[in-house]
Amino acid sequence: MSTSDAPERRTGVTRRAVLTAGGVAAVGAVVASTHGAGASTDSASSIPFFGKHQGGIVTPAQGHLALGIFNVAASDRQELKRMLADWGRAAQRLTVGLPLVETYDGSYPPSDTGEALGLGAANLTLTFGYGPSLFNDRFGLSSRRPKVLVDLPAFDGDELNPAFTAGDLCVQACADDPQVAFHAIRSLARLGLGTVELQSLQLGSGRTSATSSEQRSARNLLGFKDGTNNLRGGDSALLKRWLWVGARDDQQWMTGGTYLVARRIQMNLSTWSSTPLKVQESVIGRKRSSGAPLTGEREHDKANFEALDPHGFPVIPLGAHIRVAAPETNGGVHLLRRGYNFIDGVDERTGNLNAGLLFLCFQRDPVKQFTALQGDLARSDNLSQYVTHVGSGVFACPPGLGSNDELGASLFD
Amino acid sequence: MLAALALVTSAMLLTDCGTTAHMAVRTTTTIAGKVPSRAEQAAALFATTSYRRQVVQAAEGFTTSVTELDGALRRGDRQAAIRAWAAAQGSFDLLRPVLLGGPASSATYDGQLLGGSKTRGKGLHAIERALFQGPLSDGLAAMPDLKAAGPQLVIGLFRTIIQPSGVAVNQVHALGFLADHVIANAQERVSHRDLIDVLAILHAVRGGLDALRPLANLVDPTQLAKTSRGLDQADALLSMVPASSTDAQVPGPVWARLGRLVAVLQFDFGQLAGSIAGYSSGRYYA
Ligand code: HEM
Repeated sequence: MSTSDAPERRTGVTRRAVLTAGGVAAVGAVVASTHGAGASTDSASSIPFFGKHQGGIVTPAQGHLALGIFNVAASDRQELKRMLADWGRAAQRLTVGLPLVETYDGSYPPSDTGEALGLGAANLTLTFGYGPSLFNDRFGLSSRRPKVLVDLPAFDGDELNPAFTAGDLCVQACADDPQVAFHAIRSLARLGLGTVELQSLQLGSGRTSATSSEQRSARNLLGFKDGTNNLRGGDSALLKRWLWVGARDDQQWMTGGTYLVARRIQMNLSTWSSTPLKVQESVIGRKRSSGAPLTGEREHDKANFEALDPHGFPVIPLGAHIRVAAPETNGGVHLLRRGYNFIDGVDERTGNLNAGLLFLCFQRDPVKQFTALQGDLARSDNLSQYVTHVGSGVFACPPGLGSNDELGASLFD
Repeated sequence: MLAALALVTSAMLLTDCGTTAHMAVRTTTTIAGKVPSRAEQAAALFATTSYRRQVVQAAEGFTTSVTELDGALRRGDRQAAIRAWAAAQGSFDLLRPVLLGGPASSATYDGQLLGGSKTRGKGLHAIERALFQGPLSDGLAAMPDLKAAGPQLVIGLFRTIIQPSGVAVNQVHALGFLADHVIANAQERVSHRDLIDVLAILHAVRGGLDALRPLANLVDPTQLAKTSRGLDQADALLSMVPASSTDAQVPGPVWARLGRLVAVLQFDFGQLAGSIAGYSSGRYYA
């Protein structure tokens, strides 16, 4: 029996038992354990789980990411439905800083793995998404597939590793504490044992985007400020146009939802860090120190893509990343970028760092937004010589839940 | 670094880096510099002229090899086709970093000329499959694109300005391809002859260094010596392995040691680029 945790009265560690033991009704209040030790919700640092939209999209980007990609092992539609509902209930607890259960029976392996006990909610958000493969014949969902939810095409330069590519389900856990984010994915994976299998768990630390106007831009591993010209939570008109699925888009159950594109992008850091600063700046189109465009002085100065130098060359080169990616050169297309740096040891063949960007972006239509933009970037972005896309996935993220809703119900009903 | 050179040669100075066609003009806001000596001017000119010659030769070599490859495939002469394919690979390895300053991205050139996940059945990798897995005639499908690539290469080259420091940066990029795309993640996945690329890239890098040698010798002999030593070490390491070896025949520790040497070489070429920044001959490649 555990010495520090309260003894558990229930027996067994089934998913249902775990969740009923904790009691979803208790979320938002102080939950007393059988020993009265109590586990309190952490309202000071929690992001509401219920709402019109899922958390983790326009939520100010937290410091850490754990991205779990799952494949469904079960062939039974009801089993999948039940598991998603259980995930939703678990998410309610985790996002207020509660463990999966309050009490433990020392005769059993503990139902909550315990590594986040006492860490609070740390602004945890859990964002759930469904991959195109979930809508094949297995679960009778093909008529529910949104038109724009199709596998991303191959782009020039892609060197995709199957381990980081596609997937039936994804869960983006973001938090200000890496262990809280990790614990959330680990807990969901355990709850889903037998129904889903974890295909990959990618950890990111250090947000590379600001998603609210209060946040300062962070730097990516190339050393440049990232997220300067990003969609922000306050840009309501742009969010309506470019982020949220509208009522007139093809699948009603997605209204208020959005699509996540996740790309694992390896950075060729040894090459980048041996490249002169001026070349680096011309590749990005911005100054490294201030983040200002090459035509400006301050970070948020508007880039002037028309400006020429005295010799008649564009000051922001034709292949500069910001020129190729900017809405001005892409029919106004915006993305909400919400990426994280990843650092994953050393490549044993070269001794170089295995590191890069987990590029995550949300949008209303991945075909017209990410795919169109990435097609252009692959064709003419000077940054492509320094990066390699090694993982890829697209997921439909349904709208947020009301307090009586079950995760996944709208998909099946 | 020759900081104030732009003052005296502003007409010639288009960029101090040269890998990208449209880069900001060099400014003179840092430490006061000096007027280049005649010897330095001559060495700068030698650097760009000599490198340009290598690039033009590689572009011509690519076209010639592609023509030979086409002929050999049509004749069904596998051995001649393999020789021509390896030569075309080698030429592309030299051209690749130069092309990065042109109108298309590295991903596009690689997709078109090497073949990638988007461009299956195209490029030199499709030829490789035909040569080593057969049938030979499959290679013919990739030929029209490769033949068309010749003129496109020239367009890419035309747009690019060459400067001595840009020659050094090109070697950083060539070595980057070697590390990240050849050593870490084999290129020739059918023939397993990645050594072809390794040797071709190191040969091209040596050519780049030779072009820079007189200028670097005047400006930063210590850095030149260090860079040369690194390249010699890489060559010495590879001299222990027969050039015809397959990837598996190259011992793991040799790959690992090569990877580390390449990282050091990248760093050294980056430093060299800084040392010779500002010296310019204002030449275009083609
Ligand atoms: C490792 C890969 C990448 C790195 C290091 C990177 C880095 C940057 C940086 C430093 C900026 C300038 C600051 C800013 O406005 O955020 C930027 C801008 C941008 N990037 Fe990327 N990026 C990468 C990949 C991508 C990809 C794959 C896309 C989309 C397909 C993308 C889309 C954009 C957009 C839309 C902008 C804003 C352009 C503007 O309006 O100024 N980036 N990126």
